[in-house]
Amino acid sequence: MLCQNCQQAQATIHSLDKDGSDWVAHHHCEKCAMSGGPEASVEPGKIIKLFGDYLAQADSPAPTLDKDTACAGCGLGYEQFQQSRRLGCARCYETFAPDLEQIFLRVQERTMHKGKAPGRPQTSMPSPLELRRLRENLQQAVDEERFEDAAGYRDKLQQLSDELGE
Amino acid sequence: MKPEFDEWLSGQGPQEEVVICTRVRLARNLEGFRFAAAQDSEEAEVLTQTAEKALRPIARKFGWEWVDLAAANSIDRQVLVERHLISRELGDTDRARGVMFDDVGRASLMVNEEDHLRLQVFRSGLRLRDAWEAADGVDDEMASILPFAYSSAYGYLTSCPTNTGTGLRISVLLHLPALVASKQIETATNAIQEMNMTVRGLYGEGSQALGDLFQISNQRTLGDSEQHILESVESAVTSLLAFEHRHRDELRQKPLVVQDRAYRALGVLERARTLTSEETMTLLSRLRLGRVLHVLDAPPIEALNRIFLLTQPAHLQKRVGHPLDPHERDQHRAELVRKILAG
Repeated sequence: MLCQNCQQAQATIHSLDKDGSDWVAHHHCEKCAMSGGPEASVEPGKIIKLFGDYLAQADSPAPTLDKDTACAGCGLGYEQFQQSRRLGCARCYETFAPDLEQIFLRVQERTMHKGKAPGRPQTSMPSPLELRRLRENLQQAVDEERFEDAAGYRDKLQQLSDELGE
Repeated sequence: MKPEFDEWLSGQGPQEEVVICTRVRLARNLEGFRFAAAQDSEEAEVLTQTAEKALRPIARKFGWEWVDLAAANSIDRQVLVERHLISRELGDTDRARGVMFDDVGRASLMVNEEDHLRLQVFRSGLRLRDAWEAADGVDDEMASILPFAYSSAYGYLTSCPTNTGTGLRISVLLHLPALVASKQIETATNAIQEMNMTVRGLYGEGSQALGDLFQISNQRTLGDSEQHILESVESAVTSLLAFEHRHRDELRQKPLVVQDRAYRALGVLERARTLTSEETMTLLSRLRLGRVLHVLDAPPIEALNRIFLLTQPAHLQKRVGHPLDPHERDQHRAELVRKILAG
């Protein structure tokens, strides 16, 4: 059976939704089921089950934040987050915390982590922003023929990349 | 990238008559990088290179090969999907990404999937603790090199809130032909869902999973410890096993029926000139049941697993070395099945 959405991939996710008093079957490939596009009837973030009514758990939470709220870490907007139910970066967890608590209650029935915590790496890792800044500085120094500065930036970049890998 | 016969299909392990394999998956993200869906192409590139380079010592230790998926062709990527070493999403996306895995498919590490790192450990049969301990060990080693996005409130931070917390998904793939035949599968799966487990058919069709294969996995990742999740999955699978065995005992009372169905399936597989993947899966299920109920002497389970993997679309195309349309695939599938069964 082909996916009822894209009509190309094999449908591997089958779900039953309650439509009034009737049960309606949906058949999607994994990509369409998880993509959350406007045509996909199975929204991302839902617990997908082969049988049974999962809709009750997956209703959209009521908006709790101003619609212009955006994450300072990645720029993800509130409306986009509500639609996709995907976070853009670690900082989104603080930005959208009130909504997330509701989502966690619905899909996880819990809101606090229990279990393992990571150890810390012995060496610190440069952030991508730092790497990007160094690359931009290097380019600018070359453009402006400040070769001594350029050599400094190049050495720093080389050092960071050596620390990362070896 | 040669098709291999992987750990998850080796057909050996505890409860092998019912449990095909156990998989443990951990989702991790690196501090300081946006999650994959929010990245621009440069950040995707930097993340992928950073992770690959930083994790080289671990790759060396476990004998993992690195495959740059952006550079791999589509059939090779699809082969990795069919081997379960990468997700369909990781195979299909355009962004920079890759995978590390060992040549017998006991572990794979997807880089820049929905989460930056997705570690998968596979074990044949029901080996939850063994798979978890292996994954836990690799996770600790990775955490000693790379800083993971983590908060004391929410645990490991992931792109989707359904993975937040432990980031742990334990899946067990089961063959449940007796529950399907006795029409008890829906009752059984509903009961399992009450235990906070998700049930999915493997390459499913309608409400009946293709090949009578079902995947059980934990639904909750937040608020339960890894040990608790392990115990919950173990308990759910143990219940299903008992239920399946009870219905297999009933089938043992009518061996001729099971034997007849198995031999008819064998007859078709040995003689057919075209076989769809659906028909192949259905017939393999009957043979597998016949073998474990001892009403059929051959073929060995290993041959059934080989057919199961090697007759999938990308493996067939890899074997002939060029793309095949669905009708050609059905012909090649039938030919390969005949060859494997002939020994």
